[in-house]
Amino acid sequence: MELAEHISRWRFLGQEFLTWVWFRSDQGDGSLELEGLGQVEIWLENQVTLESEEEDRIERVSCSGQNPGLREARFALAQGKKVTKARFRMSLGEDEWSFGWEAGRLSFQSMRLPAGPAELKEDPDGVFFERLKLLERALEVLDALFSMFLSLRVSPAWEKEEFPALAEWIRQGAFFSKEAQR
Amino acid sequence: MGFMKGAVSFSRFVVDGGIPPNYKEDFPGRIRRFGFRELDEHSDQERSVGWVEMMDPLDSEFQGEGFFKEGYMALGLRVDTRVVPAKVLRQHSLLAQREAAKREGLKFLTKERREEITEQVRWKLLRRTIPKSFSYEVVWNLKAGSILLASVQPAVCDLFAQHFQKTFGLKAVPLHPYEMILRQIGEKQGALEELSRLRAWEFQGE
Repeated sequence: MELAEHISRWRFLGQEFLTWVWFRSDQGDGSLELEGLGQVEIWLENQVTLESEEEDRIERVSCSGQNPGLREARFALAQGKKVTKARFRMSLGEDEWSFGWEAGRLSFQSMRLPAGPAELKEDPDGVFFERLKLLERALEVLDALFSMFLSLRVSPAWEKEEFPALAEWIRQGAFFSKEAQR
Repeated sequence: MGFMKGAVSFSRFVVDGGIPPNYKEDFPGRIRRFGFRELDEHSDQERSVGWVEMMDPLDSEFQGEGFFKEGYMALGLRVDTRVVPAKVLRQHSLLAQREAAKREGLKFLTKERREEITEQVRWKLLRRTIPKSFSYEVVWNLKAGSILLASVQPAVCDLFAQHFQKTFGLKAVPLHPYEMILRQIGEKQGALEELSRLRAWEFQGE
């Protein structure tokens, strides 16, 4: 199978993953315990793009704003649209990152890293290693998150517990939006 | 903006296979050999792709070995492209065809002759076109075999993978969801088969 076919075939998993991260971040205090990494907080920041495809016709909705619930986006999700891009913020210990994530290739857009020590500013190699360390740290966490999703997605717990809860959360999105329109 | 400063947009790759044990002696020559070369203004070459210093896209000489950074390799991938805009080509080509028909005393030119003229015009215009130049940072974690490329454009990702393989004889595989699955489940018996049965979740919209 060619690369483009692989990406297209498995795009749904990237879309489901981003939706699941959004769902999980909306539950309780939004924190997750990742094995060997500790407590991670991740939440949808203020931008999300969703798409639906019917008879080769793509309909796209981009939502951004200060409303933390992004109700219009939740409504679009309830209408059956899929998340194709989303911007998240993540914190681990004292460090915080923000980044846009694209579902098809899981590439990163405009990732902002935690500020490094001020004394490194005059040392280009110091800056390089410090920033790489912070970047790889974020990727380690996000890979662990993907791994967690994947294990869950193929386990019996997905059909039994996780997906019903997620589907209920999606349905609630439609309800919130209708309430807001009244 | 990039790995050294500000916000960074990037794609991930993994290297298939290990690096040779003598990479410190082997890689510098390969990098210089596949370093960036300016587009030859007397040729009809439309694109030039090659390595440059990560922090200086104008430097493809690599005097030292600053690209080795304690377990990492830091490079820039420079891509220069020159293209004659289609509209300009059409206009100049039409003019040249009219002149040729007049000169040769013909009412119509054959399709082959028109194509020949268009190609000549394209080449003439191409030599007068100023190339667009972009440089993309590349950071290779030599131990982990992972690469970060400061671009999210699929076309740039493809160019990078091709040039990387040409240079190092190693395959840089884009780390998209399927590749992540393969790397996570490894050789686990039956796991891939189980995953290949996965279909998108069905959710009935309200």
